[in-house]
Amino acid sequence: MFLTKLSINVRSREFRRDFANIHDLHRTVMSAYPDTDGDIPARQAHGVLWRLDPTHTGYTAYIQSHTNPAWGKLPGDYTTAPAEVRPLQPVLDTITAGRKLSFRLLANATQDTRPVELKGKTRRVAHHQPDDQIGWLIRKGDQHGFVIPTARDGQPDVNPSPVPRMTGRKDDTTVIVDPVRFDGHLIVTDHTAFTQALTTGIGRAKAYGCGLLSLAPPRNT
Amino acid sequence: MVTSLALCFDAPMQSWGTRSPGTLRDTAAEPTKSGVVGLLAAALGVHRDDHDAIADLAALTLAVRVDREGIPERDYHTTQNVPTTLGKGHRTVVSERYYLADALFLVILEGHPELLQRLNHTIDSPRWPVFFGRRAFVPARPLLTRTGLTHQPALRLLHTHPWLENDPDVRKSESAKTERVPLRTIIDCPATTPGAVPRRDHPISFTHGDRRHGLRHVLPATTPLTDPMISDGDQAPCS
Repeated sequence: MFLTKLSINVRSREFRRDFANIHDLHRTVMSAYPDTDGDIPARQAHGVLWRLDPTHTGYTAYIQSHTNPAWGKLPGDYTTAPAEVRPLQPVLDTITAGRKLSFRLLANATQDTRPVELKGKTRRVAHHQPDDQIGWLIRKGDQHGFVIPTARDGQPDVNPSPVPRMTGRKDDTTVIVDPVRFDGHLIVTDHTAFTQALTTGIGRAKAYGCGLLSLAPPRNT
Repeated sequence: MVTSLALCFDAPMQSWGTRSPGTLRDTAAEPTKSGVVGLLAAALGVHRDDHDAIADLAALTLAVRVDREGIPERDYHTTQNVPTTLGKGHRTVVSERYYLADALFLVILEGHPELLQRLNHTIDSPRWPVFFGRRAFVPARPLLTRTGLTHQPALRLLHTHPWLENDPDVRKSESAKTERVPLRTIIDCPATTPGAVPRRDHPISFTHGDRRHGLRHVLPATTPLTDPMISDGDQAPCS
């Protein structure tokens, strides 16, 4: 497993194009990985997950993958510093059941609805209310081997914050992703399921910057 | 003979809402027709409920070229003392307000020559303040470009108008490139045009409490950023 840090140059026209079209951003990320000829999509085959984090001066992109990325094809002024790549194994080695960690996750928290006008077909809609978003995350925790501890105020120790809608065009269809960013703490309950979630991501829209779980030591309370 | 007016929309912040009532105030990635018409109406001193004058402005063909893509950002915004639905008590409402940071657009209006002439005269000394979507988001440089009022069609201007980017570093790095990111364009078109996309931002009424919008169709496309567009660019410094 590898983790790349790209310090984005927000004045780059290539980055502005990608930021305006999430599908172009996906393609730029995937340009660091060789093509695959199998039936599995290239993103899945290389285990690529990524996220754009806003900083004081612009954006930082974190990209995780099974395959060692080659960032040589990136447009000239895309970044302000060379790409930093490091192995992720040390992080995976520290994961044990019962361990408390702080985390960040940009997720596409959605639910399937069956509106009457669609006559039985489903429509996926994003959760916009913080309580619904936290509920979604807790359900994902059941599935992926972690729980959200309770903070001092008795509420789940996680903060959902809204993120601007991401839009794009793939072929002739419009892509719309309404993500939410979770910052908080989690406690690992199932080592195998949690490691699996770390390597394959959580939730939908993984090609469009969602689902990458970043971990750090817990914050002092 | 067709007449077009070329404008420069440059500001640190712009907001072009499309589904704006309520606590979620979004922004489109390029100026909306209702936003542009509202700005022109302010410049001319047209009242909100002057439906005929608004209809004349909305009848102009709008063409937009994205000379610099903006970055969507969220504003933390609260409104205090909002009455509850029952009318008893007051609360503080947190709303999600999005804006485009650092965007730059070439906005072209094509249509009635006499109307465009009037706009040409008043746009840089407007009757009422002009702004990009919200009162605080004021223009960073004069709205009229050097091209201003011309007899070229809007579609042609989209492909030939000098690039409005005025950052010398970006200009330099672009002129050195052989393969450039094309400029995105959006132009009003009939609903029957192949590839037309509907947008519900054609203003019908700006009256307080009775804002109404109709449907219009736009054709999204791109145009290459050519050497003459860069070398002939709008390098006039801000005064």
